[in-house]
Amino acid sequence: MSSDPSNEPCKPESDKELREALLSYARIRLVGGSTKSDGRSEREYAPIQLVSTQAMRGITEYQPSEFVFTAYAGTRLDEITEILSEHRQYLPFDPPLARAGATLGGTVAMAMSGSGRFRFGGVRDFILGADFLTGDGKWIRSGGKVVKNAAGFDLPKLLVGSFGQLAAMTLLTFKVFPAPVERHSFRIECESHQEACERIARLARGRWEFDAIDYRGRAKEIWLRLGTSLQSATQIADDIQSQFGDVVAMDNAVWRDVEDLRFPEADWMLIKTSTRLGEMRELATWCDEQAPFSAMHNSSAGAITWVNIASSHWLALKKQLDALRLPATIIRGSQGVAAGTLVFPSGVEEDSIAQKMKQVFDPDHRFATVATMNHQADASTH
Amino acid sequence: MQQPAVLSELREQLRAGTVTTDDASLAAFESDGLTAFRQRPLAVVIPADSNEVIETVRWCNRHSIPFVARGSGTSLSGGAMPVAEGIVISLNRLNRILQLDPDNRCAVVQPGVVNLQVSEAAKPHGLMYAPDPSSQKICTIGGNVAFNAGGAHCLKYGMTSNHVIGMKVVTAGGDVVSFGSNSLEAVGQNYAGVFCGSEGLFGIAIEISLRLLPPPECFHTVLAGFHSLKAAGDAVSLIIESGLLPGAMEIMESLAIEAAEAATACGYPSGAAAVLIVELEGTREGLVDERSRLDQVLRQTEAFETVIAKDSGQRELIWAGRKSVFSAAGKLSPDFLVQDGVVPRRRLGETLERIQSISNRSGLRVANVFHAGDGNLHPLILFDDSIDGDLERAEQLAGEILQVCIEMGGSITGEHGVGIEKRDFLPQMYDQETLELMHRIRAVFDPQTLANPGKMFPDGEAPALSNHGLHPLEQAGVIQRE
Repeated sequence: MSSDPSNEPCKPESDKELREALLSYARIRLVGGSTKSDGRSEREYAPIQLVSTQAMRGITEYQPSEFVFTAYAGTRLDEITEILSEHRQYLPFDPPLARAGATLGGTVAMAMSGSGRFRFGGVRDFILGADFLTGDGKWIRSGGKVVKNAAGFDLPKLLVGSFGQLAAMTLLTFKVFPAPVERHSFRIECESHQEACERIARLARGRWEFDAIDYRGRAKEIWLRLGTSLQSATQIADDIQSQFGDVVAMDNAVWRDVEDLRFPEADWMLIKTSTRLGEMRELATWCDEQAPFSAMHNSSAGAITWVNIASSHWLALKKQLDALRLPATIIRGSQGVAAGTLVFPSGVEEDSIAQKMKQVFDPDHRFATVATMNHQADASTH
Repeated sequence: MQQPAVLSELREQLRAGTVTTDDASLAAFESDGLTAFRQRPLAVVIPADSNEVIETVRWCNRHSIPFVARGSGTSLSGGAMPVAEGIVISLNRLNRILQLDPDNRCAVVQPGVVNLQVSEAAKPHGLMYAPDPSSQKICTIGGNVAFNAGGAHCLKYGMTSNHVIGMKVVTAGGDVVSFGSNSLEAVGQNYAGVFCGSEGLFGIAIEISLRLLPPPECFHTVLAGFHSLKAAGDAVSLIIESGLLPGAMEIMESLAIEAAEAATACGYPSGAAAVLIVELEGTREGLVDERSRLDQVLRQTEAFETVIAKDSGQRELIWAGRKSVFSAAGKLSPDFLVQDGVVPRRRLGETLERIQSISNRSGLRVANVFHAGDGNLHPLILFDDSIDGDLERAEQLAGEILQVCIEMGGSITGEHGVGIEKRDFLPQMYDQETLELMHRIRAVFDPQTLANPGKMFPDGEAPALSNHGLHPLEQAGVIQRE
């Protein structure tokens, strides 16, 4: 028999308590640091018990010589970053919102990769193992704790971008890399978004091995980050200058805005979409036309476009995304549009595989599904 | 038998000559790189395009006929071995690079495209495809996807799944669906990631979007000789602790060195119990720093001889020795089995001692070669099939090595996959509930269990074990094992 949801999140402190919480309610939503969604807006649609992962936190295993650590899903990213940095190691994909309190589990569930995704890959490329609880209360131990493993299906990857709809993750194992000896940042100003796209394409397939290539839409600036000594970075910057014109050194602190997802208005909606350079250019141009109510920032040489927009302009953006046939995720919502909502181009529906997979992992549909909407429709929850 | 009538329906659906059942054709497909296992299929279908693949899979569905998708048949775990009463769908004619987008560093390819051809096509645009299994001259991207192929550069670059960003597949149930996109970062669940390494149990990828990277500008390749395997292993630990991230770190011990020298005269340090190959890669500016750091680290090790490749010719010679080991093993022994396991790097020394002890007890010699950076062992078990019971002893020894890998907290496979060879060991890695979940996930894609049945999970009929020596392509020196 299901309990009635309470107004406060329950905070299980052990695997046993988590399982009890799961099986006690008809519908739950897992929340970590609530930096993307606290799940509360969904409760306008249906009674959902929030289950916080925050009491299940901490690194349980870390072998610097193995490039591997295991931590509870509720562990804050900044705690992990600090421990890794003591051993001169890091998560190369720059998971965002660490300072705001984002957790490892939330990063996996929302597939959150930042600027560093460019060089070595994203969250999907660094996750090695996952222990989790399915919706019918079964414990699953998947993947491994070594950097290479081809045995069985790669279930941890299935949890990346699953928005907490499939399982409650408990322990997550990640690969890490040695941190660069130093970091040096530069920017190149461009005349137009078109010029920026052409330059990004050349920089991204050049010989220079950037850790990050970002693009600031309003300023028409390409941001570059190198993970090497000052001497090497200066030589590389000189080489780039000879080919691209002025290259200006920047303080590494500029990346904090990207890490914190400040683009630039914290109280505007924030939408993440998957793009190629041409689509990035179209969105950058569109955002210029909506100024001052919209801004865009791109990470990973065209691949991740963040659009920061006043809620008054959301419907217009939705139309533009539809015109470009781009799916999107709402990272920060506004009235009536919940964070975590998936937005598909019109005519594209959630595929049958996703529905069947939900049935496999969560036959009783205990984990609340995220809201989905087509660009031309309203949000709905399941 | 009903099957010939059913086959005639398929023949009518496809272009003439696409379906073959003659003995000579079937014989060519009855095993893959794991030649110890053989099975003659009912028929071989060689579709000319994606539509024919889809039609064939749907035909299999209608008539509940099992199928095994196959590329070049280089699987070392028996993953492409046919099943009795089933067909082989050979994808070699789907060999077109459909799209090459240098600006977004992406290629869309058909499954029959050979791995190395992707890098060759990308090269004029200053790009490469990073995963480089040793069989890359012949193995196909479709096979790489199915078995999540690795190579010598996995520590830094990852496996195939880390370079597949999207795909269009025909599921074993006959649905055509797309996963991911041609952008590096997709929205929604990561089905492309889980499809990689599914060993052909979900269906067939008919279009695959690959991430391309700029190749390293410069290499710094060092060969170091040691008087003990432990000293070589300790050197790897020191390199890792120094904060360097080499593109590759490989160790070979004395028997493997002997084989390599016999095959390529690669000039490895004489009298070495083990050699370590370390390769740094990067920009010409960045490598200046890293070279001196590596030099400092190596001076702290017990290396008795260190050779730095002065040019690309010497680098190639160093690598030729490493890559020749398995095909050269024939000079040490008439027959051999290659194993593939993973252990935590810090337990490499302990593992190798255990392997030595098992080898001594069995009376069979083992030559060890491994990707030291990621703890991926490839013990080479030498035996003589003309001696009664030797093959069974070699199989037993191979199994015991896998047990050791599991005990050490590692994996039964780093890059060859489970296939037929290791399916009995999977339950030692995952508990019953996890295996049951995997079965249910498989059923999402393949409700009738038609795609590559009998692989990965310990529930299929075991084919007869017999030894047939090297794969013909290995004998010809075209491919090598990792």
